[in-house]
Amino acid sequence: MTSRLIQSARVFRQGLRVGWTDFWLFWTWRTWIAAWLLRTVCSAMVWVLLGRMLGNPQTMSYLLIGNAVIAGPSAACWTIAVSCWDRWDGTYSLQVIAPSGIAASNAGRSFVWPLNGIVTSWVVFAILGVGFDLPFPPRALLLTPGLVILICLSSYSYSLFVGGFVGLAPRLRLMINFGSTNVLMALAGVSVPVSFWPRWVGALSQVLPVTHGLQAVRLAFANGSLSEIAACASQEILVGLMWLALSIAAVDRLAAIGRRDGSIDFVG
Amino acid sequence: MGLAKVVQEKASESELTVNDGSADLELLLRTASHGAFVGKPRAQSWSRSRRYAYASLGAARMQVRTTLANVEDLTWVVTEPLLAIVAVAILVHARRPDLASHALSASFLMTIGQMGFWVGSDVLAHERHLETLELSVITPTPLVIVLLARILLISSVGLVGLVEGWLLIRGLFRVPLVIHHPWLLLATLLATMLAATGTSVLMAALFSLAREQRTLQNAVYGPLYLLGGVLVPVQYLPAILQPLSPFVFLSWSAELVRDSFTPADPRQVGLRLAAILGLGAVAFVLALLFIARIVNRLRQRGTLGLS
Repeated sequence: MTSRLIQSARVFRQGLRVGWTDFWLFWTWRTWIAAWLLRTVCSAMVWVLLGRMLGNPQTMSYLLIGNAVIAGPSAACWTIAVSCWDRWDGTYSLQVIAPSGIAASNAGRSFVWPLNGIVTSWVVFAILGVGFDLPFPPRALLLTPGLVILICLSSYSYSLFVGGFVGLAPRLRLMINFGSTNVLMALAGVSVPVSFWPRWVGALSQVLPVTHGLQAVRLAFANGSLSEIAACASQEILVGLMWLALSIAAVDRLAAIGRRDGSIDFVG
Repeated sequence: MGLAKVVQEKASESELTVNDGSADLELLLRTASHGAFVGKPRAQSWSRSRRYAYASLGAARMQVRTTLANVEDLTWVVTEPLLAIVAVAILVHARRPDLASHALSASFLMTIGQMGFWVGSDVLAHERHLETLELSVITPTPLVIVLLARILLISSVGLVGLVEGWLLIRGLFRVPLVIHHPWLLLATLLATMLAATGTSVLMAALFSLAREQRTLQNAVYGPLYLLGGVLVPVQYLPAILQPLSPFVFLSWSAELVRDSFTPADPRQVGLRLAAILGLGAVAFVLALLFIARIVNRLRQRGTLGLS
């Protein structure tokens, strides 16, 4: 068991090296700022301006915090699309038949995206916070960066699980990637409180990433008690671990479907 | 005339185009359209128009098949209207369901925008990637005609975003969305589709040569939606950005779509529709110039087939 874990960790590290190199082949610091960050800031700003249009400073702050946070999971959700990239590189089948399976290598390869999400969310928070005069209480200043890390990691676990299914229909990867982000934007308390939705939708949002972590961020901005913040953060960790366990259980099994029906090398 | 002489004459013609280098409009248009606009008798012009129309239909048919075979092209038709749910949820929660037309305009314009600025702007680069650009360039039909027909079809798929947005808003939130000015809405949809096509042809031309095509695509649409006021009217933008908005056709389209759902009579409709079409036309003329120059350069350097 221990040796298997060590082996998986090694594969994860190698996957991360590939993903990291791949990422910086596509982006440079300049293009990251001029394209990725610009687009993300503009998209978040549209929603903050909706709050301004509604003429309620509380709504504006609510939308600002929600959209600055969701900038991170939006990037982390790219893990869903990344799960299919090996197909185009021709290395997918090798990973599926490797003794260590595809779960660890895929997780490593896509880990650069939650890292990108963390930095993106921090920067968007800073830009929009300063731009729209959002007051940063010391508690928020201290806790938000860590909570954003937590939220991005739980979103990453969720994306690994969804990415496993996308492997069965690679051409739907972008649809499911952006669709997942939009679902989080609608249901996870980013734009409206979870209580706005019917009860069954609210119950669904409890098992989605972001919901509890974002609640913790909002509490930090409202100078909520540390115990309440810690409770929300713990729930976010639990949700993240649940999705991670599900993805570990599912990803290799889903890839095995391709082995059985001989579709590993086909992009249907 | 010997073959050598012909080659020499062609070479000197080509040299003229290169060395002239002063972006002479007539010369560039001639290259872009294989003589579509310049110096031909009227009868020939009519038969050529028919040929181009026939080629356009063929290109559109080919695009239909390509899109149907590649569900990725329809990504944005599925994902963008979902944002209408987010927007209306915010509006209903803030007790302002009367502003639902803002969500609808965002759903429509972002869908048509993504279809054009993402899928449409891929067309030329994709041709290079598949190594079919040489074939497209050497056919008697100007490349730009084929490109226009294909991107027009892609943009028109974006119209579905309006229907989807309307169904989502009405179905999920029961918010009334009454079209008070149906003709205005129809005219705005058509003008927007044409302007999105013109702009996307320009982007296709600009992006086709770039190694960082996806990076450029990423850079473009966020600012365009912000400046275009697709969800929030331009007057709520930071003052420093507001002067840029009139140069983005989406800003005119968004206001007109919203006016279609407002009981008050819209003002200066002709002027505003002309602004949408004018901006689309400017983008298209720029595209003509770029495509002429790009194809010219690729042919002269012998790199047309290298992607």
